[in-house]
Amino acid sequence: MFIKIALKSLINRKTTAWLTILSVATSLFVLLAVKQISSQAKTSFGRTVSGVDLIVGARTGQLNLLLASVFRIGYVSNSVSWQSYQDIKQQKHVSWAVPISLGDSHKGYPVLGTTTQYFDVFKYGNKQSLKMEQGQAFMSDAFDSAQVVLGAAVAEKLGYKLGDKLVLSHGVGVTSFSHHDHVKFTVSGILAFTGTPIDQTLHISLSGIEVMHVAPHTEEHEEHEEHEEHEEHEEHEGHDEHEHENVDKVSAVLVGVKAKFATLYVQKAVNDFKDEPLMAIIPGVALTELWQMMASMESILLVISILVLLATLLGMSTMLLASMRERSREISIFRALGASPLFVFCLIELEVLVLTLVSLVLALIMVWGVSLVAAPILSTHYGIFIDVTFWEQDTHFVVINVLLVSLLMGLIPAMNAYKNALQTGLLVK
Amino acid sequence: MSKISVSDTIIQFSNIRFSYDNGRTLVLNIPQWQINRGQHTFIVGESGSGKSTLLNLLSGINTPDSGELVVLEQSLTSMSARKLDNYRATKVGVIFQQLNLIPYISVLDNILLAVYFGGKKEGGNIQSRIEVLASQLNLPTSILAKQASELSVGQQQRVAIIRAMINEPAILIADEPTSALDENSKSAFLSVLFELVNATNCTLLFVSHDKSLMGQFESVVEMSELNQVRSQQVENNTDNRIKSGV
Repeated sequence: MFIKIALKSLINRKTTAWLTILSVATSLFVLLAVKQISSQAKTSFGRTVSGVDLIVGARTGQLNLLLASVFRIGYVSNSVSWQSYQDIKQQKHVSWAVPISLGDSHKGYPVLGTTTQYFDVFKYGNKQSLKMEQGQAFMSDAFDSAQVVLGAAVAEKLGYKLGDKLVLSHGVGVTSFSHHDHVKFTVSGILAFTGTPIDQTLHISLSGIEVMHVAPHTEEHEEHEEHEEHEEHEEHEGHDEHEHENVDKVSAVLVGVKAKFATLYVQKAVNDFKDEPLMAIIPGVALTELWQMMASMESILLVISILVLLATLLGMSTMLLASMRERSREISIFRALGASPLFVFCLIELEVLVLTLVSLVLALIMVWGVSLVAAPILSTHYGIFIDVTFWEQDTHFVVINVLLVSLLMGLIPAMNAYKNALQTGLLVK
Repeated sequence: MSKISVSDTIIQFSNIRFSYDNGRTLVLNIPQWQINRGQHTFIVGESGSGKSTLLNLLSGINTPDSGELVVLEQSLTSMSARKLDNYRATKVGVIFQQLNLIPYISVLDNILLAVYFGGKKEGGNIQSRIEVLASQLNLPTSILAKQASELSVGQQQRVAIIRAMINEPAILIADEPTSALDENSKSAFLSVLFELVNATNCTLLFVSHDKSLMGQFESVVEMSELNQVRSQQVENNTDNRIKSGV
């Protein structure tokens, strides 16, 4: 009977009740979304690279180098000469060194030039190796048998199969105007799904990169002719190092050391490199810097969303408080029938509880729905992988706290109703 | 003081005083008053005569500052708030002037609400009792499923009788229950009210301005005579403003 009255009372005021639910749900959605995205992004970034001890690149910010070389976000402005790569490789503490070359794309997906060793040494997640789902690694060198290994998502989204021939373009972005369409790459292998930016990447040999750039361009897209000259000019400036006949420069070098203690030693050696200005970063350290940057952003967002939530919960209290005037009649009927003031108090708190619970469910569904829509977009464009989950690990913590705070806010109208019930007589006119 | 002076006394007021504003405004002073079981009492009084305070004390919503109020051989003045709520739920039925029902729940739920607070189970027995009462009050059973707000004022007042009587209270308090009704409904309302009250030997306290109804009651009480607060104030201070009000 008690629950029935609370529900019927809310249904009786359904317009205000729904508006309240919507506003509380929206602010809860913001809070839950901020929490979910930050924790998921962290997991996603954290699992992207493991087993790589150092990343060597031209001098830039360490985050810049990390984001470009591992997450394909942004550009590496300069490059490492082939000679430097060889020198690093031969240092006595270095176990392996794999060069990577970036800056090209295929239908918006990044193209990575590297050696076949990449597939053996690159690790992600909990030191998991890359696995070939189908086929094998590319054969390097052969001019007319240029081959490409596709990330799982690239193969799936673009519908490529083993043996398909594709054209790779110069520069990054979907609407790259200069197509290197004189060279067709054959799909030699498709990697298993990793949940990292590897899935979004096309892997070719370093010589494949050079082959792509060496021959004169043929103009394919006539409708873009006007832009082409301009675009190409810019591209050439930015990727000058790609325009030479032989493998001359690479974007970065992934390094594995023989023993962990040598990491700092190799890092210092690279930073002090005489022939050209280079830097070496430790991925874990760079990630920590990233977390710190994100942590302050995250806490700002979190504080804002908590404040917004508090404001809407206060709004709910105000709504209930405003309804008290019209409900004083109701309260005196309850009292006349033998209800204690505590009953009236609990009735209001129950209404608060129902409003908040409905809002919570609505917010969780909203977060779930939005992440369902956003997940493919985030993974395609930003290489950030989020799991679509309805109930996160710490969601119950949020739920309990939100319910507690709303009940606390509900004290305002509930106490008002309690006092009203104490003071009301039988004859309320 | 002896608790029961006469065996059929149901309500006994002894030196009851009640005031607002922490004792500064005395509103009720009843030295001695008693009502017998089954008696029908008509209470007349201007607004501000202490009428509502009287009813609030009788129903246990307020407790007097001093004196003793014994109802059904129990002293209300020494009861806990919880016991008073239970006393009101089980022993006292109340009918208001109007707007007796909670508008957003069904008529049946409005009646069951009284059963709920009375602490009884909502069994089939209650259901059939409600139906019997409804037919006695000339209400079709179909209205039980309706929202209270869909009923006419006359119907609402009759539902209020069912709700007030469902727990078979010893005392029924009716506060101007006929003032919203027309002449025909008024006499029909009264006759059915008396019928129900007599059937259970329920004590009726009927508050009204309508002196034409007075003749149907065994006892008539003028608030100005019952409540000694004004004469007290006259004795205690010489404020002319109050004197002119008497």
